[in-house]
Amino acid sequence: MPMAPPRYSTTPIPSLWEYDRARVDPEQALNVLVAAGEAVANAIEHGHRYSPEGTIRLGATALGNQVRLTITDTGEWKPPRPATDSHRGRGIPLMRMLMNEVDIQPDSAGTNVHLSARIS
Amino acid sequence: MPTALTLDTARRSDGKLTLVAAGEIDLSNVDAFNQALTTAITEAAGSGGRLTVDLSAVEYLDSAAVNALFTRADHIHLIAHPLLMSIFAISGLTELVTVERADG
Repeated sequence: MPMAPPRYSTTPIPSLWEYDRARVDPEQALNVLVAAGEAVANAIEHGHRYSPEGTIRLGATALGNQVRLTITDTGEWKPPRPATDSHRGRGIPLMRMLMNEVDIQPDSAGTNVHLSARIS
Repeated sequence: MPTALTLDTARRSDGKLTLVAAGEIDLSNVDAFNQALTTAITEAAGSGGRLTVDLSAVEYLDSAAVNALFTRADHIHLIAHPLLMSIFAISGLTELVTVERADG
């Protein structure tokens, strides 16, 4: 089955630069942005490989010194296989290194990824 | 719509071949980055040198780009935007590749 080239709008992600207004350290903000990008890329590649018309939602909240992100897709979770999928094999390890908490919850309706990090 | 990325290969005044990337590198345009790296590394190797990859104007990249750099660690030297230094350190790339911090 031919796979359509991945296409996605980058609109929601740059809005994370709103951090700037909250005076978050720019390097920390970039780390969160990259982790969020990884989760979205995983959702596109793994979750929606066979259903390219699906929707991926990204929600972000900052409370106190903690930022929480939720990335939800409606596709089918497929665990990445580093050996055969070297293109993205570093995605999840990188996400874990950039964030304090990474929780991936696949269920029949899709996959929820929760990320959180302390910010200063 | 792929994310905006420009790639230019040029020989600097000191004779070193440099691939200059500007913009953002992610899943949507990593193929172009990979292709540019392969071509430029071949050209640099032809003149017996390492390729300098100048990412000082790249403000965002994901693991697909980090991966592309990892697989070519033996052939490149990196110049990175200050904000990206921690991504390269955290991912372990700085243990394999010399990463020079660009002036912020």
